[in-house]
Amino acid sequence: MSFYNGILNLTNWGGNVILPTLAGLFIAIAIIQFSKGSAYQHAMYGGLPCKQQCRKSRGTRNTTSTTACFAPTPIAPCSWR
Amino acid sequence: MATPQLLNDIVNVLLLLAPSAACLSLVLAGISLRREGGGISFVIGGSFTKWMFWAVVFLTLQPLLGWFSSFGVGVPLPGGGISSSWLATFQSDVGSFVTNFVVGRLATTVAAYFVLRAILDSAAGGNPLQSILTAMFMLGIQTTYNLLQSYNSGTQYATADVLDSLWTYLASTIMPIAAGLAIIGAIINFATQRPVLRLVGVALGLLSVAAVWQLVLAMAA
Repeated sequence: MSFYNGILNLTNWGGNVILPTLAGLFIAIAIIQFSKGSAYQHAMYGGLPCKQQCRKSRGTRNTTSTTACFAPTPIAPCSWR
Repeated sequence: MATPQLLNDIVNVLLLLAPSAACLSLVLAGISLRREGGGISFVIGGSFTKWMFWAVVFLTLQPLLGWFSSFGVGVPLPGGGISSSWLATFQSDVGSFVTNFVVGRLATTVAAYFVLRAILDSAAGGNPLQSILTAMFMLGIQTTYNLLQSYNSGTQYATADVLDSLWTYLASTIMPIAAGLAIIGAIINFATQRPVLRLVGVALGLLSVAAVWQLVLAMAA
């Protein structure tokens, strides 16, 4: 167990599980608010990036099953001294 | 006059207990991570940074003592083992207590309490993230200790080397993941009509910590 694995899996869980769920919730809220004639834009535009995140994750899973969605791109250690 | 053997043994015990002190410092740093107010903050001079600093110092204590030689003060570190059996047993027992009890069992239990605290934080209208991250830090204490040890260069500059490597690890490995968390937070904030720009800015900043450092260096040059 390490802090790195913990925060990486937390971010993956947020991006791959929570955001798609929230996408459905926000879109449902947008539909309900639209049906009532009240402002629905925020819920709809909030649901879209959540949904995009879901599609991005699915694409990642199809290409490389072991690569996490938010796995950081290796950055060369900065030569800051 | 030769140094009495008992004094040599006591010095040996203290030096051999330094790794255990580093482990304890990491545990205290984890607890401080949650106790410091205002969310996850790395307040310079705050408890978390203070305990992390002491963990690094304890881990690099022997190379650090090498500075005394360059000051002209001879520090002949006693070599070999501890000749007094009572002191040797004491050192072994304390090391075993810290490794097996504090880090192996107690830290896990404290982490479980922080998970419970995260739920209670949410119930109180707070942010559960800081308790969750603290729990992860507590669970990863042994790995963090091994990481710090791998950065130890063993030279007189070991303390600074470990701190440098830790900064690079933070900026190049942990912060990009934290930027992902910030983006998730920004999307949720947007949908719930709360301020977004701050989190977007934080995500951009976390992704470019090294670049910001280079910028500061270029400005100062």
